[in-house]
Amino acid sequence: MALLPLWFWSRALRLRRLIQDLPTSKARGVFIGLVELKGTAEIEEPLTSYLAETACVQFGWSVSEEWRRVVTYTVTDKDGNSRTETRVESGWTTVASGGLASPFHLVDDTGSILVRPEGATIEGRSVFSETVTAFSDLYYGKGPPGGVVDSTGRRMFTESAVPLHAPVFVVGKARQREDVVAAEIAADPSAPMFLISTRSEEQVAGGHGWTIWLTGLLVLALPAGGWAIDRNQMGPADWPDLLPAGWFSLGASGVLLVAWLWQVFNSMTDLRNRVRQASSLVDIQLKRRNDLIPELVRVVEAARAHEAGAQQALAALRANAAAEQLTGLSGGIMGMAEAYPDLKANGNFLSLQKELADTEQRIAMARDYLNDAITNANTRAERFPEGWVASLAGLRRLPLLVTEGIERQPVQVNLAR
Amino acid sequence: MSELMIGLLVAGGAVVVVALLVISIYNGLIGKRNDYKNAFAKVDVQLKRRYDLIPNLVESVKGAMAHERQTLDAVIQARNTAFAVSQKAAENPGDPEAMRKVGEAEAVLRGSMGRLFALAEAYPNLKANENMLQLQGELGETENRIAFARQDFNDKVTTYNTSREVFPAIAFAGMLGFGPASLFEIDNPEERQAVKVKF
Repeated sequence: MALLPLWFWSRALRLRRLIQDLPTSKARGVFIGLVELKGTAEIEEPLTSYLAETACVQFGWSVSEEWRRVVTYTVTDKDGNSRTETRVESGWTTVASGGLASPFHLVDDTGSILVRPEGATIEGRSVFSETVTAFSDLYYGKGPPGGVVDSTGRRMFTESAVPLHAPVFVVGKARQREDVVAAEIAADPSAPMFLISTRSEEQVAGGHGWTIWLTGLLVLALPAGGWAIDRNQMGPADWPDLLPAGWFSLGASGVLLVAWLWQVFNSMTDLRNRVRQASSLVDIQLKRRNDLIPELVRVVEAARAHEAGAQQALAALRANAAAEQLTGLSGGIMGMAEAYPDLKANGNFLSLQKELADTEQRIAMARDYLNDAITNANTRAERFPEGWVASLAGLRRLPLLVTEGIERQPVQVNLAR
Repeated sequence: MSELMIGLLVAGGAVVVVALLVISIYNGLIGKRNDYKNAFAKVDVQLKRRYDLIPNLVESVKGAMAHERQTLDAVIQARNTAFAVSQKAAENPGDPEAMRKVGEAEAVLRGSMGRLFALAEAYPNLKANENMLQLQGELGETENRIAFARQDFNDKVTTYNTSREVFPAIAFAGMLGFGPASLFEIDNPEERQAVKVKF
């Protein structure tokens, strides 16, 4: 009986710690692996939700109908006399539901990334909630024909959606896209969670916090309560009889403590490895720079040399053609030479500049991510009593990445050679 | 008797449960170890792609550059010839041989101009400049692919390491021969230094 809340308790504990431990990535700095992102939901062709008819990237709606019936049943009392009693039962039955989700772009201040919502837990925002009678156009307009048995003629229409431009919080696995060389967030069976929420990170973590408290209390109360009910079915309880209930609660606290140690130890191990991974991600970007930039510089240099040579040849052609009075062709040569499109090594330089800035940005984002991961780990390692478990899991305080002296100075731009 | 039986059954049940747990963790770790080995192979695939692709791209760009230069040089050459021949013809206007040579030179010049135009107008994308821009783009993309493959490898290694280091796997993963896997790391510390761009 108490195992179910215990399971929910440790699950909520694990997910809350995961959300808190995961540093938020930037859309352009997303790496392959589990990432957390914050931004707005954008889409070129937004969906229109069914009930509220708002522009959105995902929506889910349902219609439920109220029923009420009087149940008649016969009871026989101790003396063998039968009599008829009635009871009123009522409730709501879902008569129709539906929804749609479309791949969308999560946009933040650095760029955008594709999110494929299939398989995700989607926490939309409530965009429609109305209870109407059959006189309303809505009743059959958007609800199905017919009705449930013993219908009261009232229907409840509800809809939740992830509206266009709404702030979203996404935790999921990034993988490489198949069409272009970029990342996308999509369902992955190995991912511990795939969440798309219109709530903020704090609200999502807070929600898990409530679950932790409530299920924790249930775990403590259920065994004792169960025992007390079982024990006292014979008659009213006396104080000494309730004492064992206390022992049950104490036992349950012991179980909770062990489960807590287990979850915290595992999440600390996870966090320690995440920091190592983040450190390696920086290396990947540094390696990319080291391999890429010199090659690009060589290409641009070749482009510049080629342009210079070709321009000289063209200039000579033009000058000669202008200076000479050749046959009828000379005018043609000149025209053609003028018409020859410019070779623009300038474009190569521009592209190089863009790639340089992009490369440094990637490195900066990887370093930011590492520093965030280290900060999260250090916070965990310093907290009481988590810190003890942290040292058990080999999570030690780490210094943040900081720049060395000279790199803090303002950069002098010197264009003179 | 019956108490002994119950005790034995409970103990047997516990052994079976623990054995099943160990087997499931063992199989999970096998899968994750193969995952990261596969991800490592994928990095190699991307490195091989770079090794195979880039030299060929560079060759084709070189080819385009050479073609453009040759065409321009051919025009200049043809023009110079045509000029020299027509000068000669002007000295001796009545000479039919000189006039025939002028015609020939003009034909060569026309031909080379045509090639220049085929290059410049009919196939603007064939210009060496565009080729080089494409090469730059492809270089960037290639490195992105490699970086993605490495990130994937890191992710798989981290998943594997975490799986073998969490409780209860940590109690026996080492005994079962699952050692820690190492992440991508730059061997040569100089490669971490900023790259100086110099023309």
